[in-house]
Amino acid sequence: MKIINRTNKIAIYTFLISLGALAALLWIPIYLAGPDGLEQVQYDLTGNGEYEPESNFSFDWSPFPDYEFINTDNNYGHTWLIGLIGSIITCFIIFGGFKLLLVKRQSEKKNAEIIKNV
Amino acid sequence: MHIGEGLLDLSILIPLWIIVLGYGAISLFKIRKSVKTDQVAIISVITAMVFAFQMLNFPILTGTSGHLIGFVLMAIFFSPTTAFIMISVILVIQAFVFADGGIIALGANMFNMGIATLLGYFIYWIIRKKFSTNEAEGSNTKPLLIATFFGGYFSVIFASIICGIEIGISDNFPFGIGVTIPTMLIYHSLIGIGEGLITMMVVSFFQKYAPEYIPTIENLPIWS
Repeated sequence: MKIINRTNKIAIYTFLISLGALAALLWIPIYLAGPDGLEQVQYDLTGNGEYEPESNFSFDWSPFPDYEFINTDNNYGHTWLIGLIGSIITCFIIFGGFKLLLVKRQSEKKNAEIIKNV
Repeated sequence: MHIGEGLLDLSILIPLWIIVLGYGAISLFKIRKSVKTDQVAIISVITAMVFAFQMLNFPILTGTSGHLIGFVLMAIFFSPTTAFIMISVILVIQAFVFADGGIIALGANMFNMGIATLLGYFIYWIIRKKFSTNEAEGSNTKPLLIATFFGGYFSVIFASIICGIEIGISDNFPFGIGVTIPTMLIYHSLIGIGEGLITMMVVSFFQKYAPEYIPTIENLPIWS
C-alpha cells in the first residue's frame, strides 16, 4: 500500500476538519440565516434587503440558487450538504486549474531545454 | 458582501472588470513561477475550506450576520496573488452555481474581496515584520496571531469602504457615499472581528500542527 505523504495527509485532514467544523458550528447553532452586512445596509437605506434595481441581465441556470437544495426540509443537514457540494466543486476546480498551469510550465521548461541542447 | 446584479452601473463595473482582468493575468503569471507541485493539494483544500466557512453566517447585531471573506487567511499561507486566484474561483462558483452575487457584478466582487483586502494583508505583513524580527519562529506565536487578527479585521474594513464607495457613486443606488460608507462601516466594523478571530484560529491551528505552511519572516512575501 502506498504511504500517503505528509502534504497530502495535511490536505486530507484539513478538508475533513473543515467539514467537521462546519457541521459542528451549524449544529451549535452559530449559523444565522439573517441578512449579511451589505444586505442590511440596503435594507436600512431602501427598506429592501435584496435591493436590486431593474437589471438587463439575470442568470437563471444556477443549479442551487440561493444555496437551495431540492426536497430537503432539514435546514441543518441541508446547509451542510450544500457546503459539502460547494467545497468539492471548489477543490476540484482549483486542483485541476493549478495542475494544468504547472503542466504547461513544465512542458515549456522541457521545450526550452530541448532548444538549448539543439 | 456579495454585490448582486443591477446595483452598480456599467460606468463603475467596466473599469473594475479591466482592473480585475489585468490583475488576474499578472497573478496567473506570478503563480506559474512561484507555486510548487506539492502545494497544489493544500491550495485546493484551503480554498474549499474558505468556501465552506463563507457559508457560515455568524450573528453580529439585531439579526444581522457576517461571514468570512478569507482573503488574508489564504494570502498568509501562500501569497496575495495566489489568494486572489483562489478567492476569484470561489466567487465564480458562488455566482454561477449558487446565484450568490451577480455575474456582471463579479468584477466588483473580485475587486472588493481580492484587491481591496490586499491592504489588510499589508497590515499583517507590517505588524509581523515589525514585531517578530527578533523572535525564534514557533517559540512565540503572539506577534503572528496579533498580525493575523488585525490583517483579517482591516481586510473587511477596507473592502467595506470600497464597496460603500462603489454603491454610493452608482446611479442605480439612491444614496451617496456620505451615507453608504458610514452605514457599511457600522456593520463591517463588527463583522471584521469575526473575520479576525476565524483567521487567527485557523492560523493558530496550522502553527501548532503544520507550521511549515506559514512562511517565516525571511520568506514572507509582500505581494507576489
